[in-house]
Amino acid sequence: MSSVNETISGLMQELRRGTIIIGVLSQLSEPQYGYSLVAILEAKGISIDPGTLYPLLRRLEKQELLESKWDTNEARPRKYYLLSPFGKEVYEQLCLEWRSMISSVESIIDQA
Amino acid sequence: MDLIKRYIYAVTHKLPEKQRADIEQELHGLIEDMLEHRTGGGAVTEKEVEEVLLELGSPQEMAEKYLGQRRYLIGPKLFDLYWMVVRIVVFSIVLALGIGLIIELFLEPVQGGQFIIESIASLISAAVQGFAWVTVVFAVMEYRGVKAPDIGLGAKNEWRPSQLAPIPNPKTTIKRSEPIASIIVNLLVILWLTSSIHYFGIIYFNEDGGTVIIPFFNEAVFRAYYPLIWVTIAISILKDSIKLVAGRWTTKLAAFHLLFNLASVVIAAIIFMDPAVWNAEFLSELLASGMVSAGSEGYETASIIWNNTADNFIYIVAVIAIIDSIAVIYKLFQARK
Repeated sequence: MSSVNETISGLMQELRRGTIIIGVLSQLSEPQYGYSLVAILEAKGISIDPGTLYPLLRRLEKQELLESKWDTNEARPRKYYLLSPFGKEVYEQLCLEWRSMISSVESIIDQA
Repeated sequence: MDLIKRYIYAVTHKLPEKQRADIEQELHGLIEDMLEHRTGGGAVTEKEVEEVLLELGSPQEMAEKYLGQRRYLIGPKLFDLYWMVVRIVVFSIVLALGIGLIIELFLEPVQGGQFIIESIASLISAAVQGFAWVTVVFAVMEYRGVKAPDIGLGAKNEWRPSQLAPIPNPKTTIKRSEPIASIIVNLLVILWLTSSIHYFGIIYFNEDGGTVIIPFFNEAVFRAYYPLIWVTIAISILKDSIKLVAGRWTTKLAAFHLLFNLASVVIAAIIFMDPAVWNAEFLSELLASGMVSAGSEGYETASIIWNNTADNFIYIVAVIAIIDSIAVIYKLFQARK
């Protein structure tokens, strides 16, 4: 039966990959730095490796969904990320898409 | 803390220079945050550093995530084209130099083992060079982000079902071997014309065992026509490349082919109808060789053949071009049926 578990964990990883972006965008209406974001998401039940999150933040910034700023006032300089106006719009749209996707998937599961 | 620096270096030295400093600082902050989280602000031990780095994963994977893609010298999008070009180039070089070596051996059989070893060494080195240069060109293309569609290969615009190529009609298919063979022949002609036009002639061994060549052409005059020949061959190679990519005869391609045939006959006429390109001393050199004696029947035959060849060479070229053109037109008409 271990192969069932293995397959499921592989599929779950694929499913999770898309949801992580929504999770990240949802938390960035306030500026956050990478590791604080890991902690926040963890507390809300979405676990993400810092090794995945940091490059992801950078990618989202390149896509102009996020803006970033270095805060060098503290003892440890940190890069803070914040949703850009464009990112905000994308995020809201994305939430609508997500809801409609969930309802479609649920109705499919219920019918089966 | 040495481990942390080494880890950060291992990740960042593979990244583009512009991002390096930023990512370095970011990773540093992250690792310190993770350590603090673990120790609760207490003293940090080597063991905890190792645990944190293990949690972050291998620097190779981390760098790939930052790059957003795997790195290739020549990526999958260019590889097919690259592989085809490499094979043609290396094969042509080996064939050209190999045949050159055999001719050389035939002409100067006394040169012996040392010469063979040197020639084979230079053949291998030339093949490696050809391979290297093609690879360099493609690696630069990969680095600059050139995609196959940018150079006219593959679909550029949005794909539409109406653009689907028809299932190849076996009658109009161009076998890959045909243009490849033609490219190789063209490369051979260029190599030989440029390096050893004086080998085109009658070759014999004199009494001292040396090799004497009675050339067909006047080398100095012939050389003046080289630029014309090079341009023609370049166009021919271009035509073969298009055939290779297209894979079948189309009306446009056939038109190009016929036009090229016409042009090459005209160019051959310009060159070979110029009496100065032929070796004016050919017959007297033939006499001097002692193969035929003046006034003999053999000499008569030789001079008739020689004079006719010089005069009629162009017609031979024209007939070959016409036969080839008819074959192409026939193929197109077959396909229309």
